[in-house]
Amino acid sequence: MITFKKLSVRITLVISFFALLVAGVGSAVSYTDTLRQERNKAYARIMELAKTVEKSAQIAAYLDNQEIADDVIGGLMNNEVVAGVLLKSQSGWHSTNDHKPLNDALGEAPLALDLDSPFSPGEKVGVLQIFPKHDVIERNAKLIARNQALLLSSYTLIVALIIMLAIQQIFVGTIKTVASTLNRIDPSGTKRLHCPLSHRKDEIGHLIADINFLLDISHFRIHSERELREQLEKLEQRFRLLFENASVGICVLNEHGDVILHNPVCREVLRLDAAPEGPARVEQFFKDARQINRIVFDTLTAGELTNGEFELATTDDLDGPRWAQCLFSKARVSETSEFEGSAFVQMIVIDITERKIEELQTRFKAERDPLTKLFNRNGLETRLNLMRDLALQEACGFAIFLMDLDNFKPINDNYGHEAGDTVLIAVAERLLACFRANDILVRLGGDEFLAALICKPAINQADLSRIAQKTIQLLPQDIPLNQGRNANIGVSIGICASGPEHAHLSIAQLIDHADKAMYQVKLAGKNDFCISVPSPMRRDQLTS
Amino acid sequence: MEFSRNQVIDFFMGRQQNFHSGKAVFTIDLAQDSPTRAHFYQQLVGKSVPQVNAYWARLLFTGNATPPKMLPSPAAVLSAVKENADAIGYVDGRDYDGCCKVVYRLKPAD
Repeated sequence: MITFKKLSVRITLVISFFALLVAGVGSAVSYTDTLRQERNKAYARIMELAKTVEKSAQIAAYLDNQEIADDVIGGLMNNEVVAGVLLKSQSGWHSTNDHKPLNDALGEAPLALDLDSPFSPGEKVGVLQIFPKHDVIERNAKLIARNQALLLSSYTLIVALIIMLAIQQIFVGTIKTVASTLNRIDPSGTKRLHCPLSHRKDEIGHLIADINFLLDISHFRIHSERELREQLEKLEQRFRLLFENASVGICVLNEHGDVILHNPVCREVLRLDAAPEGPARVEQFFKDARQINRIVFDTLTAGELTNGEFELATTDDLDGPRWAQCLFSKARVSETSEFEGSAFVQMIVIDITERKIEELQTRFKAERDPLTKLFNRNGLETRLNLMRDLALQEACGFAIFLMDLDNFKPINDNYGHEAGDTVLIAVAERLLACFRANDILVRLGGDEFLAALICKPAINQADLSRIAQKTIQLLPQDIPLNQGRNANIGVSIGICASGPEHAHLSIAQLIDHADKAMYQVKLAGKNDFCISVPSPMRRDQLTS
Repeated sequence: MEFSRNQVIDFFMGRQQNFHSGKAVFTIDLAQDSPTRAHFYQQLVGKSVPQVNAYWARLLFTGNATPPKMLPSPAAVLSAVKENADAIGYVDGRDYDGCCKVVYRLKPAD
C-alpha cells in the first residue's frame, strides 16, 4: 500500500489534483468557446461561399436564368454544410436545389444574401438564401471543440507530468538520497552527506551543509562525552581497586549510624547479607551495640579517631565468637559535594577473629594448668583482685577457699605420677561440680587448690558451709585408678570470708587468713573445713 | 415613345426580350472592335468590352439567350433599324442621320 506520508506521493497528488483541475476547467471553457467560434466560423464560411457565387447569382436573378441559377445552387450544394439553396428574383421567379419550396422543408432561418443587378449597383434583383445544415455544423464544431479540449487537457497533463518528473528527479530524488544516506550515517563517525554538484548553490545544498554542520557538532559532542565516560570509567576502576578490592572492610555510616556504603570485605566481616531488609544500623552487627553507638556518636561530635577491637554479634549458633578491629573516623565532606551539610563516619573493619582466638588460646595456655585445665598461679592475684573489686563495688561478700588434699603424697609415691595425675584431674572435675561457673578455681600447685567466689548479697556462713560440706563429701569418694585400684583422699579447707569491712586487707592477707584456717583443720584431723573471718577495719584505720 | 435607361439596359443585356406589345425585341450591336461599342457599354452599364463579352459568353452556354446582332458599321445599324420596326440599335450621335426614331439618348454625363 502506498503511504500518503511519502513526499513524492504527496507532490504527485497535489500536482495531479491541480493538473486535473486546470485540465477540467480549461477544457470546459475551451470547449464552449471553441464551439461558439467554430459555429460562427461555419456560418461566416457559408456567407463567404455565397459571396464567391454572388456574381453568377446576380446574373441568374437578373435574367431569371435557370441554368446559371442551377450552376450557382449546384456549386453551393457541393458544400457539406449546405442543406438547401433558394435563389429568388424580384419578379417572383425562383429556383432551388430540388426545385421545391424550401422554407417549409428546412424551416430554419436561412442565411440570405441580397442580390443587386450586375449592371446597376443598388438595384435589387433578388436574394440568395442558403439553408445551412445546422446539425453538421454543430457536429463539426463540437468535434473541433472536443479535440481542442482534449488537446488542452493532454497538454496540461503532459506538462504536469514533466513537472512531476522534474520535481521527482531534482527535488524528491535528491531528498530521498540525502534522507537514506543520513539514515545510514553514524553520528559518531566521520562520514558526511555528499552534495550533488547541481544542488551546491540551492536550498538543498544549504540544507546538506547545515546537516553536515550538525553532524560535526554531534560528532564532537559524542567524542568528548565518550572520552569523559572513559575517564570516569578509569576513575571508577581505580576507585574499585581501592574500595572494592581492598583487603580491609570499608564502610560509610550516616549520622544515624546506618551503613550507606560498604565494600565486599566489609559485607563479609559484618555479615551484612544476614541483616534484615531496610537501613542496616551498624550497631546490630556488634555484640555490644551500646558501645558502638557511643563510639559513632563520639566520632561525629568530637571528630576523633577511635580504634578498638570489638566482638561481633553472632549470627548463628554454629558460628563461634568473632572479633573485628574497627577504626572509626569522621569523613571530611567537601564543600562542593552533594553531601554538603551531612556528617559521615568512615569505618575500617578488619576481621581479627583468628588472631583473637590464637591470643585467647595463648592466654589460656599461660593461665591454665595443663593437667586440670584450672587456672594456674599466673595472674592469680590480678584475677582475684578483679573479683574482689567487683564484690566491693556491689558491697557483696568475697570468700577464698584454700584447699589442700590429704593423703595425696602416698598415692603419688606408691602408684606413680600417672596415678597422681588421675587423682588431680578427678579432683578438678569434682571441684568444678561443687563450685559455680562464675567462681574462680585455681590449682596453686601440687595438691593445693584455691577457689574464690562472690557472696551475694553478703557473706553467708551457711552458704559457705554448704559448699565446703559438699566438697569434703565429694572429694574423698573413691577415685578409680588402673588395675582395679582406688585412690582415697581427703581435703582440708580453710575459708576466708570477707566483706566491705575488710577492704583494707590485701588479697595476700586474705589468702594468708585462709591458709591459717586450713592449717587449723590439718591440725584438727583433716578432711574438714574452717571459716575464718578477719577482724574488721579498726576505727583508726578507717579514718586514716 | 422613349425608354428608360433601365429598359435600355434590359434590352441590350438580354433581360427584356419582348416589348410590351409582345413582339420580340431585335437588338443590334456594333462591331466587336468598334470604339463606339466600348463607349456605349461603358456609359450604359459601366462595363468594359471584355466584361460584356464574358457575360454573353456565359449566357450563350445556357442556350436561352441571344446576344444582340453585330453589324459592321453605324450605317449598317441605321439601315437595319430603318428596315425593321422591332429593331433597336445604337450609334454615335455624330453618325445619326435622323432616319430613325431616338428612344434614349445616352449622355456623357450619365
